[in-house]
Amino acid sequence: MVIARKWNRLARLVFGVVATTALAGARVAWSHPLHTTLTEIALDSTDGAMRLTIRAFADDFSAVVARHAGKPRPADYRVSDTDVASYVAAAVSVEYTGGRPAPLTWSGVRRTGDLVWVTVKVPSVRSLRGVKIATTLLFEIFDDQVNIVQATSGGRRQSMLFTAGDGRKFKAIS
Amino acid sequence: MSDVATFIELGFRHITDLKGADHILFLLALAAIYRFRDWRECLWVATAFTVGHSLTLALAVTNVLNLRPALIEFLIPVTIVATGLENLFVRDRAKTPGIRRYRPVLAGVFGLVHGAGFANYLRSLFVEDIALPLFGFNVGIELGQICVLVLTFTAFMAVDRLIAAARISGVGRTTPVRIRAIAVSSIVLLVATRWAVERAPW
Repeated sequence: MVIARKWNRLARLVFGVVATTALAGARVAWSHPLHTTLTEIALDSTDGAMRLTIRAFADDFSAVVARHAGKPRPADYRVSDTDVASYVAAAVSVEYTGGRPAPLTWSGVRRTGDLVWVTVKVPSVRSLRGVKIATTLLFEIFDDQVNIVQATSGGRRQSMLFTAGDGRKFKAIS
Repeated sequence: MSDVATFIELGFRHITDLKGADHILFLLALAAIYRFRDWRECLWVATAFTVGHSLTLALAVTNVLNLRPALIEFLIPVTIVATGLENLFVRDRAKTPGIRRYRPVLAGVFGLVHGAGFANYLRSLFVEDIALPLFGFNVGIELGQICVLVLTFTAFMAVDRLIAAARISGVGRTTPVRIRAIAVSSIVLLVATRWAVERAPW
């Protein structure tokens, strides 16, 4: 009888601790957003360059760009082109076939609804095959960030996932 | 990696992400009443949830359905609260008529609400080509749910044994499964109620 009472007390204690911890852990900022960006890669036949078009959510993207530039988070999600270019150059890396680092040239940025579209180019790419890419976009602010990269060449599309847990890791277009 | 595999992985990661606890909590609430030998029934209920969830997701990303995000974020914890309450109030399921039929229906209806939760994200990102991402994402969600359920049932088995071992006396005729169901449902209920109150759109 004494043992039973002890067990009951212990069970209530365990339940209380678990319930309190779960309740305390349920933060106010609870939600289940998808922290994702999409980067599309294609060869531009007009100038023989590789074009990267990055789509990201304007709220998160402006926050990380401002942070990178050492500025406060803009209330209207507006950040300067210079700051965007600087952040993208730091977060996206491309290597030519053979491993030589490729320069990113700024092409432009536009906003539609809650999305921001950034375009950069890599000059002198004859074929996407063997080109390597690494992207750490928004890894600084979300540890569950997943960046999707889709490369289209010759009517074939290849998708790659870059996750915050992997850090800066190059993947080759095949 | 193929396109579909990419989106399967994305869905799988999304459902198994411990920081986005809404889905995991809902699965816990759904599974709380089952014994290990009832796994088929539980899987059927979880699949009904995926079907409901896929349906709304498809309607939302194709712009057929447009729901206010604030309302959806409120309704998601409400579905978890409702599942927890159902677990607590239905005591003897063997005597409750139609129990095997209504629980999958309930899960399917609640799935409709959860699907709208991240529809905006997919709709915004994959403007031109939504079919494949949507299909892969849902397959990933279902696979993720199966993994979560396997882990959940393993944990439940351990808890049931602990309760059975502790039940020397003093807990009456209540079965270990019922005790576990009450404990899990109560915790889930507390957390989801807090979320619902915080997310109330008024």
